[in-house]
Amino acid sequence: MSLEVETDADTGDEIVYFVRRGIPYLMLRDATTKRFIKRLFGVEQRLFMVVDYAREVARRGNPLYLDAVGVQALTPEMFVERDRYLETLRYLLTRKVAEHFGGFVVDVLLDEAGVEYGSELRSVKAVFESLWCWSLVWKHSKEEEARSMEGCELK
Amino acid sequence: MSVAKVDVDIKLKPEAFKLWVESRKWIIQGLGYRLEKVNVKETEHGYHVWFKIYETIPDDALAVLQFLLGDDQKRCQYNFLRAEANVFKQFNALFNNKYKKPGNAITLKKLIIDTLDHVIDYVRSHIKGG
Repeated sequence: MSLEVETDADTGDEIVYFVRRGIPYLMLRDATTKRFIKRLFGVEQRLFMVVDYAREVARRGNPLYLDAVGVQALTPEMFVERDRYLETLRYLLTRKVAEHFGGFVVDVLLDEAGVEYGSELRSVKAVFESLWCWSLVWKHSKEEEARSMEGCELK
Repeated sequence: MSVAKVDVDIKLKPEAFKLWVESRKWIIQGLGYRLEKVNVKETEHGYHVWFKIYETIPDDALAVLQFLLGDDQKRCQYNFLRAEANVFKQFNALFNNKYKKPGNAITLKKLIIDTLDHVIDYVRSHIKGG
C-alpha cells in the first residue's frame, strides 16, 4: 500500500493519502507517533501569492503590497491529482488579481508564491469540486489601512 | 485552541534546536498560556514549528506571539498587516512547498535573455574564427 504524505499546515500533523480495496482515503496522522487521529473527507488546498512592490521600485510612485489566496477543497478522489487542481487554482487566482489590479501585477505575482494543505475547512465550507474561494488583502502605502475583499465562486 | 506557527530559517545542531524549543515553551508559559503539543518539520533551510495552545488567542495577539517566538521577521510583517485587515486566519500560512512555475512557462523576459545569449555566443564564435 503506497502512501502519499503532506504536512497539515494547520497543526503540523500529517495528511496521509492511500488506497485500500479500491477506495481512496485521507487520514490525519500524528507526526511523531504516526498514529491515525481521524479520517478526513476533504482537505483545503491553498495557494498564496504575495506582491511587495515597494515605493523605491514602483513605477510612477504606485507601491503595492498585495496578499492573495485561492482555496479549494479536495476530496480523497481528487487528492491524487492535486497538482492538476493546483494549476487550475493558479489560473483562477491570477485572473482574479488581474481583474482588480491589472496584468503587470500578475507578472510579478508568482515570484513569491506557496502552497499548503490544511485539514481544517475554513474558507470552503463544503467540499465541491467546482467551488473555489479567494481572498485579497492590499495596501498602497504604510500610512493607509489595509483593505480586503473575498468571495466564493463556481469555477 | 490556537496554533502558533513559527518559521525558523537556520539549521541548528540537535542540542541547540532542542534548547531553542524549550525556550519557546518558557515564553508561552511565561505569557500565561498552556502548551498542548509541539510539532516540528525540518525543511531545506531550517524548521517549521507548530505550537498548539489550549487557549483561543485573538488574531493580533497570535501575530505578536509568533513574533515573540522568533518567527521570520518578514513573515511577521505580513502577519501584522493581515491581522490589521482581519484576514489573519486565512493568511497565517506555513507553506508545504514554494509554488514552482510550470517548467515550460516562457516569459517575455526569459525569451529576451535567451535570445541575447544566443546572439552573444554567435558573435563571439565569429570573432574567434576570424
